[in-house]
Amino acid sequence: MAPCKHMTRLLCKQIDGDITAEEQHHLDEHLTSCEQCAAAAESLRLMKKQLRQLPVVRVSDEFHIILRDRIRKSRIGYGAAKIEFPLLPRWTYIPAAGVALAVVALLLRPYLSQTDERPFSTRGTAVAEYLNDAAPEQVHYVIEDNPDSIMLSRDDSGRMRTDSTHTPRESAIGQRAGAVQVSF
Amino acid sequence: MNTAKTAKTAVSEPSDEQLIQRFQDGDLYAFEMIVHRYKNQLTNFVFNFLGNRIDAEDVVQETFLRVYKNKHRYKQIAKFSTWIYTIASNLAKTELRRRKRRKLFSISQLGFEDKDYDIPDSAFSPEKVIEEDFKGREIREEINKLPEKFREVVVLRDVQEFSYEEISRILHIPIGTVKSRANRGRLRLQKQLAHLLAK
Ligand SMILES: [Zn+2]
Repeated sequence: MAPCKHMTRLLCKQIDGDITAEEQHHLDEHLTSCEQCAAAAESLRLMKKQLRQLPVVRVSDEFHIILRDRIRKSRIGYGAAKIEFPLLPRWTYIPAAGVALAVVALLLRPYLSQTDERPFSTRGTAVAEYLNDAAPEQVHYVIEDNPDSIMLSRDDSGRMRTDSTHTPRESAIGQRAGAVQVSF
Repeated sequence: MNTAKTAKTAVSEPSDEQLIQRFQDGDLYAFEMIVHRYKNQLTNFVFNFLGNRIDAEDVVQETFLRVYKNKHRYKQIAKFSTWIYTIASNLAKTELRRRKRRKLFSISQLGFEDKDYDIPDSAFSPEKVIEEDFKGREIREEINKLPEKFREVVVLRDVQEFSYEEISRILHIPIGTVKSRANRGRLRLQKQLAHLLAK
């Protein structure tokens, strides 16, 4: 069904719809006398229609979740302090802002309130430094069986440091001398 | 096409260019709208180009991530659709390179070096395309057998219905080259699909 070589350009111009009247006339004349090209013209036209009507695929349900996650991960790489969730529906913005405010308020509470007895809750090294600098009687610990909590232990010189050899779950308070579990 | 619908859309919805401008100014909701507007059409484009649904979604996600991270690289002199399709098509080609390297590697590992290296571009997985009818699937398979440079032009022109001018800008190739590739690609595809197109 291969059309004549010198006709292929006009055949394609025809299905693109930008063929001039003169070219169309020239093509039509050829098509009446050439079976090969007539068949090609018809099948090109059909093919064009099929391609335009090709079933449309839609993204999977997880598409947005995965995209949101990739964006968030890429932002961590930039050291961005602010975490945004741009793909959440708009109506979630106000409750989300409320939750964010509550979290900030909780984190700042020890600083804002002079009478709060707890030291503060933060991660690893900062906690260890705080404990090292604080007088022992001022130190109160929040103890929970929480996988997010961190282990601290005293090194040979008696200073607190983060303890990566123990996970909080496997070390109950008091099992290991000088080990402290801090939740946050 | 439905002109009434198109006209209404133009009045009630912001253009792509307005959306990216708003996103550049910090409006994250505008980014959501861009994702909503482009996710399926980009997935179709990349799917038709790569032949694999999972990889297509992955490439489209990476495309949106690039838009997100590089929003200020977009300049209003170009159409937004040109910009985002350029990103998607470059990423899709990178994915093809990666596959070819992987396949060449695994073939040489097996010690089949003297076999010819006529390696198809894709791992076509028709079982993934649940909603597609038989004919559509067969057409996609044949599209996928086209050489890469014909395939991308045929998909952009005849499936996505871009103008030759826009395809030329998306792929950074002269318009004459786009046309000749479209023509050669169509003739090949027509030959491959002869059994489906014959009445
Ligand atoms: Zn002829």
